[in-house]
Amino acid sequence: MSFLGKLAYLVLFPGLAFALFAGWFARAIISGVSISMSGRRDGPELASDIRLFGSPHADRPGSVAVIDWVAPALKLFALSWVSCAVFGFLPDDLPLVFCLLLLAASCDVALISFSGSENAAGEARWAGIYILGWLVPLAFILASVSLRTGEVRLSAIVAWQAAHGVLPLATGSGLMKASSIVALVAVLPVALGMAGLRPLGLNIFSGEAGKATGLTGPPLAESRLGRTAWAFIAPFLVAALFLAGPDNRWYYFVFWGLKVAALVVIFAVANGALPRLQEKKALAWMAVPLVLAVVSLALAWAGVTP
Amino acid sequence: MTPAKVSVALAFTVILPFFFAIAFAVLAGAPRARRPLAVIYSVAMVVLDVLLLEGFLANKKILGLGSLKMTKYGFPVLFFLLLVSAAVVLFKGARGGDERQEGLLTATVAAATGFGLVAVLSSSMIGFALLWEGATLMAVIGLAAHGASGFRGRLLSFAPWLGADLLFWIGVLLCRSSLKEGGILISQPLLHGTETQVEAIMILFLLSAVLRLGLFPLNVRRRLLIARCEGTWNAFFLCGLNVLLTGYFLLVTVTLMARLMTSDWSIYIALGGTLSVVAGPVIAARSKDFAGYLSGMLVMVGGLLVLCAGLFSRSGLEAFLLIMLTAPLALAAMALAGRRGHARVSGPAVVAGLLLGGLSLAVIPPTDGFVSRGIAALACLDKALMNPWYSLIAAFVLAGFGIAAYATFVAVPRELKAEHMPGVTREKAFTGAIPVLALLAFFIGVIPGPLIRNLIEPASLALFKSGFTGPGVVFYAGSGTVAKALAVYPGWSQAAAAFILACALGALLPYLFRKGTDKEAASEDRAR
Repeated sequence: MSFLGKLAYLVLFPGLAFALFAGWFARAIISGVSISMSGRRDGPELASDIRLFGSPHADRPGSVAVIDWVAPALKLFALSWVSCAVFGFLPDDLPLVFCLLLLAASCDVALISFSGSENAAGEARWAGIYILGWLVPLAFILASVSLRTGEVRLSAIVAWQAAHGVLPLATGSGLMKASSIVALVAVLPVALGMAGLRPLGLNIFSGEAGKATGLTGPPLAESRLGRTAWAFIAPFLVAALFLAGPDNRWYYFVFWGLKVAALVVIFAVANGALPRLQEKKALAWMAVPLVLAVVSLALAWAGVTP
Repeated sequence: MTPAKVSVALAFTVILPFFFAIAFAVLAGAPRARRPLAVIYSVAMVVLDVLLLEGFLANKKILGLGSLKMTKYGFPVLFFLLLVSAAVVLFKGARGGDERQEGLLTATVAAATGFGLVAVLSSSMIGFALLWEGATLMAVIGLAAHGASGFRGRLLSFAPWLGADLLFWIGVLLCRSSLKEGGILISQPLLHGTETQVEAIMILFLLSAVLRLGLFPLNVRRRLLIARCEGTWNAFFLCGLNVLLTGYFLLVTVTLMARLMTSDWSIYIALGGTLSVVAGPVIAARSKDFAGYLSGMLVMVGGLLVLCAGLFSRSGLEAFLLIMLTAPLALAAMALAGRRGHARVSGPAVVAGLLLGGLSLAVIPPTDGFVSRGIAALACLDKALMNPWYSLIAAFVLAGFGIAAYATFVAVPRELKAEHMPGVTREKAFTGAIPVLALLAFFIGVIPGPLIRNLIEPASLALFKSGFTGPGVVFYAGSGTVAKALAVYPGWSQAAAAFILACALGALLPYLFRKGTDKEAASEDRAR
């Protein structure tokens, strides 16, 4: 029974179905802001993505064709697990959450690597470096948050904030508060990179870049759904790490929703106002969150040292 | 199983590898005999392994045969060494090629298994050192079994290993002469020797382990060694025996450090390990061939072992044991499946081995690679509550995981595509051993509870009792917050299984209900 419960969490709430539904809302906001600011249409594409399930897919020869089908599903459910972890429904320690995000991001690299494209190795290398651009700062941010709160589980960090207030304003020394504020500033571009939004994110499943994977039909549909889920998971994770408040009453769900929506609007404005940076430039800009994350860790370190 | 039966099984386990080694060497020229012999060896080793496990779990006191003792920290090494040996011999025994060389190489694997087994059962330091050298000798004969051409180059690449043995021997002799101690685990109080002598011996032991594990920047010529040797030699000697035996010796060394030394070198050891945890994946990512990738991953595994050993904490020790025991499985599977020169084994089994082994080395949940390394990262965060240095280490460890995943997702597809490159020939071989090793690694990741409860926790508690405090080292029992996170892993199989089932359904349902694979329509769709 417990096993079925965990399966239900992953597939329904707060897993896949919830993440896709919330992701669709997030993409709707991003699209609305994008159209009003720059006339570009970035979605929501849920309906067209789902229609892709009905279109044909050309199977590649050989055993590696299995990657086309497995990688998108792995990505979707890795993100679902992250969503469940925030609510504390499934194991939720920080290394696990980090590695789940790593898995979700690595699936894109695998899809490009195994694509039939002639330049697959080069494209995969770029996509991988790009993902490292936000993963490495995230590692330092998580270490900083853990040092600040003394907790190693996501649900425990949320509970800690319920007791002490949102992380940047929570009780503690000035250095501690400064550490959290710097980490919050660092995590915003990291989340943009995660969600594949402009100016830093890499969007490999639509437009010209979409051809990099060579996917069609259902695997492409699942991959695009994965992008929809990212649009929610990225701000949701930021909200859980930094902006979680008291969470012991049912109506605090509304506050959670508003916080995530506010973050989505900030991301949407960045996405609408700024052009997508070229790969090398974007990577150079990713050094900024890395430096901020290291500074945040140093401040937290100074704060906890008596 | 009664203790008497366990002793009988242990006697067979110790003798049979040598018996089979002779048989492999003698019957080298007859492939018809060699193949069944390999199957019999593998089945016998697995059966004996299971019998010993049953005996080990059923009896609370330390069992053994004469001076050979099945200790709580030695038995897990024995158990996994037998598994790797059985898989490698099964793979090697069925492989074609120059019959004499193939037979000799298989014989060295069997004999080295015997030496390794007796080494971890030995309770004297000199005995351990002699048996360690027996395994080294077999590794050298294994290098010679590759043929005369290139032997010098292979031996040169093997030189760091020999250098490590030299340091180890100097340490053992110093221990014997100045501390007047002969046991493998020395207890307090020391009746002879000074603090400087103890420190010198510990430095020698630590350097020997670090050199043998090939930590950065001491990993010179490791890539060349992998590139020049057979997959089976790499799988058994480098990925299996080396990680298990050196890991075991590192465990003994850190225990001695905690028991005997008046200073705490914890942070320096941990920082040294962290350097390799980051440098290893970078080496793997920058390499242009599979040998470089495997070399980098070995550096990372070595770094993680040293880092976890240096934590001197309960969670760190358990992460150390998990990595030491399970990493050889995925590493050996990858080494067997990898290409050597212009020849490689091929087929779906190899693809499965590379993918599953790759997932494990890339620290992807829910493989054993994630469980062991995830606990290592948690152990660093745990220790950070005492000393903030460890939060920096934890950040670097997590970043290292990211780079390892990147390296894997670049190297494995390149390896799989290499099959179709011009000039690459396929070798016929029984490749079943590769996915078996990789699947074993995968299932340990999904169901780590039995391993943690039955082997890891008893081994950890046997080395450091709760509340252990040495002259210089205070063994950290762990915080409540991390204990809660760690408590999840022994029983996380339901969550892991639900994840795998959900992913399988997510992949299978669209596949089963997909529209016809009309290539033209798909091409049009792709063009759109």
